[in-house]
Amino acid sequence: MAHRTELELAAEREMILAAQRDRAAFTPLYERYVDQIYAYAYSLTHHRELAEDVTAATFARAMEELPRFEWRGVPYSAWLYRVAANLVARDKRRPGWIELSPHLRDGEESPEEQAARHDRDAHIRAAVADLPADQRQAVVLRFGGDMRNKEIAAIMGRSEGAVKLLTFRAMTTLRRRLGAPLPAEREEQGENRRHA
Amino acid sequence: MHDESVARIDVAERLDAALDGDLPARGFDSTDPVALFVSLGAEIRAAMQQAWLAPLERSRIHARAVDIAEGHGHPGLRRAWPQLTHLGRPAVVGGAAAAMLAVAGLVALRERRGHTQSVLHAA
Repeated sequence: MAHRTELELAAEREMILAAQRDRAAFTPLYERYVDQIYAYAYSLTHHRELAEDVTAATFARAMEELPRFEWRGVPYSAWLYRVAANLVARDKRRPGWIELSPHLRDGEESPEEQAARHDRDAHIRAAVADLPADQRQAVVLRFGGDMRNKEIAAIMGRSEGAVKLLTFRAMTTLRRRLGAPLPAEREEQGENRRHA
Repeated sequence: MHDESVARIDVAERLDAALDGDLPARGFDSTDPVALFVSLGAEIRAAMQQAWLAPLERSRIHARAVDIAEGHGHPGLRRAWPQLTHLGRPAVVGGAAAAMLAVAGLVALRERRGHTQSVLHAA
């Protein structure tokens, strides 16, 4: 999977240093991560407006903390995810967290390609949205944010082993919902049908 | 049952290594469950990394972030992003302008009434 290379991390560090020297240079960092943070906030809240609020508050904090930010050799997004998670945890007692169907945006594709991709993406996003909260968070961070277990564990406040288990359980569920069952599962289903 | 658990743990471990990039994702036999999970992972990744926000939504969130940060005592942030000026606090700016117009209208109306009344009194 596409984890950051040393070179990419070094480039990101340069972007942060540039933003610390000149606020206007924060824009590329914002553009790089705003969708990921929104997707994560949405996965936590299931509410578009709340997800926007959390995203805006996360980047406000990022702007405020930027002069004091210290590079620790992990993607900047790890820090952003943690801020978003804390904001959601703090505000979770607020009422009105309503489940909505995931929404998608148009890209530059033919209408047919777009429709096919939207269908599949919407199907995947809906399946992810249906996962239990902790599994959903692990999947969004793993695949949406390209985070490693260690980074996900730090963001979620869980052990690496727990994150590994959450991801595997989530993948097993998603595989059943989205695709053909594994050979062992097929045999299991056959057994069940025979006994029924 | 025990064998099944061991097999699951093995799949989980190898999947994890593949997702972390420690095992080559293309190095699995096509019948290997890990290969199926890895290809599913690629699909999930593609779906999760598609843009979630329209450009205007991105700009709006940015403008709100700047508003919040400025409200927390970090002035001058907006100057760093002149492209946000048309997005900044549109409701507040519009509302303030409308309120000022309404006040000006009321003052004018009152003055006119006052003037009319004084004219009537005088008459």
